[in-house]
Amino acid sequence: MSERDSVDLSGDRGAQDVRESIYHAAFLACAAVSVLTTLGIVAALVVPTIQFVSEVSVSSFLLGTEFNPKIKPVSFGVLPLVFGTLLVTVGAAAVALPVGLLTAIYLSEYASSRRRAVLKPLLEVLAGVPTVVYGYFALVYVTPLLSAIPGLELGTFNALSASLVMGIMIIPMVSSISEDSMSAVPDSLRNGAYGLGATKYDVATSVVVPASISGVAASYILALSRAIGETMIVVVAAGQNARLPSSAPELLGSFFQSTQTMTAAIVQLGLSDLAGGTTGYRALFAIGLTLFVMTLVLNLISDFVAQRYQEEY
Amino acid sequence: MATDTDTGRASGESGFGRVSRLRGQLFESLTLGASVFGIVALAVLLAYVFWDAFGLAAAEPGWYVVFAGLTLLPAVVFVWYARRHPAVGETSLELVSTALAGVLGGFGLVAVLEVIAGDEVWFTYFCTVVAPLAGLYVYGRLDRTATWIGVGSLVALVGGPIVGTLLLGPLTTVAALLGAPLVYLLTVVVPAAGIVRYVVDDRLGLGNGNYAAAGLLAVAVLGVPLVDRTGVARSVWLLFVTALAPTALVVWNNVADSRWPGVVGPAGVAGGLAATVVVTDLVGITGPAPWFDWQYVTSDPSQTAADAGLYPAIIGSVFVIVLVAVTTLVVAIGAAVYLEEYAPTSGVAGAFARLVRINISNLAGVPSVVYGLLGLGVFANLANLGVGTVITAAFTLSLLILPIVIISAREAIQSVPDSLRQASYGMGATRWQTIRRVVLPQALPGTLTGTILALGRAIGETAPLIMIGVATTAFSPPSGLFSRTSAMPMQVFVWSSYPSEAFQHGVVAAGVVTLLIVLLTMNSIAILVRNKFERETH
Amino acid sequence: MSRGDGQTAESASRRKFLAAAGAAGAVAVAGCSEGGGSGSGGDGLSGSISITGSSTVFPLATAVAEQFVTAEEEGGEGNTEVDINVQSTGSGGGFENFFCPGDSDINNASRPIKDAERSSCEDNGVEPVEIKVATDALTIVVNNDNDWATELTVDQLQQIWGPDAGADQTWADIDSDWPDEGIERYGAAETSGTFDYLTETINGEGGAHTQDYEPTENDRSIVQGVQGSQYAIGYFGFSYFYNNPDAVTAVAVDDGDGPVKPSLDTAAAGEYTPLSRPLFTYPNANALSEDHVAEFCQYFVEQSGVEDVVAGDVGYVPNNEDTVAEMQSRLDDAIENVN
Repeated sequence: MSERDSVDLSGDRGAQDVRESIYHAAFLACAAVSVLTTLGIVAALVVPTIQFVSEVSVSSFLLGTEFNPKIKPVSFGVLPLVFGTLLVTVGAAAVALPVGLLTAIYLSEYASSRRRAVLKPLLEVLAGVPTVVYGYFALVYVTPLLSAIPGLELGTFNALSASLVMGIMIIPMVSSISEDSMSAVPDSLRNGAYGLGATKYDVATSVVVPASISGVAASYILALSRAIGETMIVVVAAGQNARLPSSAPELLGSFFQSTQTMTAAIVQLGLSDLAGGTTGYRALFAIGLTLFVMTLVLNLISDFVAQRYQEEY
Repeated sequence: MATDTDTGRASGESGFGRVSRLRGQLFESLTLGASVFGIVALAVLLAYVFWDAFGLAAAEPGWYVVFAGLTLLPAVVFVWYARRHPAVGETSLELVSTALAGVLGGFGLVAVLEVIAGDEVWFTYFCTVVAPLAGLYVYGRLDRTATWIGVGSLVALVGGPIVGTLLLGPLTTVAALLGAPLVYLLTVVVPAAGIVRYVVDDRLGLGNGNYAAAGLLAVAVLGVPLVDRTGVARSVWLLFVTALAPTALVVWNNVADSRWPGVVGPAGVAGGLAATVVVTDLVGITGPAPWFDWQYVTSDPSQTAADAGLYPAIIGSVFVIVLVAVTTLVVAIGAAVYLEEYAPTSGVAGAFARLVRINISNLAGVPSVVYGLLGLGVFANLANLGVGTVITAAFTLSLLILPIVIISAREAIQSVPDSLRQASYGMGATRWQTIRRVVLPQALPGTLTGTILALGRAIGETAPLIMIGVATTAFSPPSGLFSRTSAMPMQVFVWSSYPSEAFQHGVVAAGVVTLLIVLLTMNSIAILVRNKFERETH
Repeated sequence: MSRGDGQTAESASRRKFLAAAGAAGAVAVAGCSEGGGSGSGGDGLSGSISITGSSTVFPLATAVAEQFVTAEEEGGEGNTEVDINVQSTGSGGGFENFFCPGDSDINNASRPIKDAERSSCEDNGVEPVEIKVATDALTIVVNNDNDWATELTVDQLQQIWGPDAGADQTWADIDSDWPDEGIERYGAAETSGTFDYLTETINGEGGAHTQDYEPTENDRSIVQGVQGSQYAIGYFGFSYFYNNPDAVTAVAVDDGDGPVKPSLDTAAAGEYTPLSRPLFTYPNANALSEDHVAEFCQYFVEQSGVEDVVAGDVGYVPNNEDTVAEMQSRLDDAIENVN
């Protein structure tokens, strides 16, 4: 910025200075909106949660194994919901993480620029489809298709369809961030490997992926965080049965049955017959706070991994 | 690849030995398969939905033959031709996107001006807000030294609505005397003609802009008697003519540059589709029994599947998204400008700016249902804006997409080269002048692209709407900012829990198709904006 | 295009955009100042009605509302200027969160209003008027191939659905002549009014319900579940069974006077006990001072006796003539008192 007090080149700027400060303040206010948003979210979640915690102890909430807002004995343990969320997330990750990584490798190493120009927008479309549409797909098309597989016993609502469709939805997240990170690996590393007699496969798997591992890991964590926070797919397709399996075979079997995630519980409680001032209604804010903290921690870890382990070229 | 092109030695006999290519080829196929896996899966699901929504099961084989011959075949030929000549592909993409945008824009104009506001209210606010702003702008272009234009515009923007509300009575009487079609002619078509003249003269250099403007007016006015016969309202006709004017300009522009293959192609396919309908009607072949048709888009919801429609939800969504677009764009650009141009790197303000940056990237990852809880707690209850009202929904969705838009605005501003800024400062401009005249114009296309994509996401969001109590079923469109509304994704979600088969595979499928068409158009507009401005700056 | 032109053009387009954005914003603000819309001084009723409440009554309220606003040439009542929105929130949720704070005009409920709710409403100046609109016969269903459990006593139902029924319970535990196979249960989610009604009526206490069941708000999936297994049993409101009588088999319930199958007649005659529940709507007496609300409520009461609408379209038991007359006079009194 020029120093105006040494040589006055432009004459009187009195009014203009005032205007400048007005604009500065206006922009500052806009930037502050985002801080206010976070404060608002925290307040909206914490205030009812404090009331909730005075009625239901923190340990019975965080460690309780039964979630029964109405069935006696009434209990508000969040573990079954966390299990449901993890179940669907693991299923989605099993689809999205390998597929996304392979897609990123293809786009950065093998694809011609014309193919890339076609594939990248198409992948963006995957991410742009509304989630309620994905949930509808899972309920009305994927579940009947999967049920037709002989030997597979699927309920109308099941975790498998929901996690499969969710996985498809988050493929673009993994692939685009990983691909950005792979493209940033300088060609000199690749050429060095070629010079030593490596094949393209060797370069892709032994040079590029390790070099971009921080970006890939960050994309994985971001995708997991997105899957954890996803609501409509599970509300429409996964059901309302919050339960914790008690043995290993039951754990696998949970995929084929209905389950309830944290987000689905929030929606169910919000739409339900629970009156505003009751513990059950306030439970929804407590679950919301847990969800918020989980996704926040994951996002921070993702940032940390991306920065800490990033190779500088 | 170094190891494979072993020229000069016979294969099988070399010091290096042979390297199996199988593993590499398998891996390449694997990665290619992975890349298209998601796309193919989505395509299959979309095929199912379109099959259900358009009721293709009811069509006779004869219909398919006619359709394939008149529509599919030309389309395939054209796509094959476009692949060989990429310029043609670009032109046709531009044309199709503009046409789709024009149609959607027409619906949007009708929804906002005719349905929500009404011609009288629109007339009032046109006279007190739009006309003064336009007048100030034109004056500002003519007299470059008038620096009070900026402040004047702000006064018009803020004071105009207030004056308009005060003068509502007399101005609505005037509008009632004029009648709705004349109001739209004066307030929409004539200004559009003026803009057309400017664009044709100064931007496209196609010829005499006056002729173009006169042509638009002529089409609008002379089309009225024809339209009267078809039963379409005159106001709707006028608004659609205005919305489709850009399409006409695009066509003219391309034809003038002899890029006519790109125009003829899509037009031919569209003509083929029309021909299919006509021919099958004449010959008497049964076509498909679509759920997604004009009746669906214009009816109210109903308990009987055959009568159900999406109209109030569409209007509600349009209303909310227009508000979201305005609020988000203003706040996001403001925040991005602050973070990129004003924020210092040290001291308290610097720490604040760093905090804001981190905060924004965290907010982008917060689940949408939590934003719904925020909207419920702060807007609906604390600020008493009402549960499930248009304004609560608009603010909640704005906050939801704000981080994304801020991030893309920041990227757009960052991509403006510093040399431009330094040149501006070097000439003695203040920071605000630099931002306004150098940085923002360069950054606007990128920001717009990001905003349009974010708006596409906001249209499809359901979870926040559920939490703030948007109506499960509304039988009429919202009538004002504080009236309760329904929204497209909410209505589709509610219908998906109705037990009957007709709802599950018919009505909901049609709703899904509506959402997808809206989304597809918005995405293609965003891509178009990005491509267009990328080309211009280079 | 020289740099200067480019700048002018760019700033011009930005100004245009600002102007357009401002205009759009102004128009939107305009919408709030008056009723907006294209109806300028229409004859007939106008205004908005906000209806919340039970998901069980929701289909009936929606069907009546739809008839009320549809144009006459399409067979409706012609009140196209009335703006009705209906929200399915659950009975208790509707009272606490919307009706008693005064945010909605009418609340539907699948059970009578509780005293606590009534006093909470009156504290806020809201006076609920209790109008019975229909009767629902909660239906227990079993698979079509289930030939042993087509008649159940209330006691047996309590054994199947009560809190002590665990995952290891088999049909044989209820009656030794029955197959020794596990019972698959499908029922209403615990947050719904139907759940409340079953637990209170059969099990004697709200919230007393087995945990070994598949909860859902979606009647269709209950039917699919029951259809899918010979040893399955489920329950839902009569409406779905009435519209799909061949999909599953309704159980005849024996409340001490012999088994009674649910049907429009048995429920109307009061024979299908204890699972006949009255369905209510509660307009706010103060909202009745507005013409369109009063007209709508009167129309609702009138329609509650029409079999085509209540039974045919929705699947509940319509009110008989005496009840309709009683509700009409109750409503008319309330309207008179407030005007």
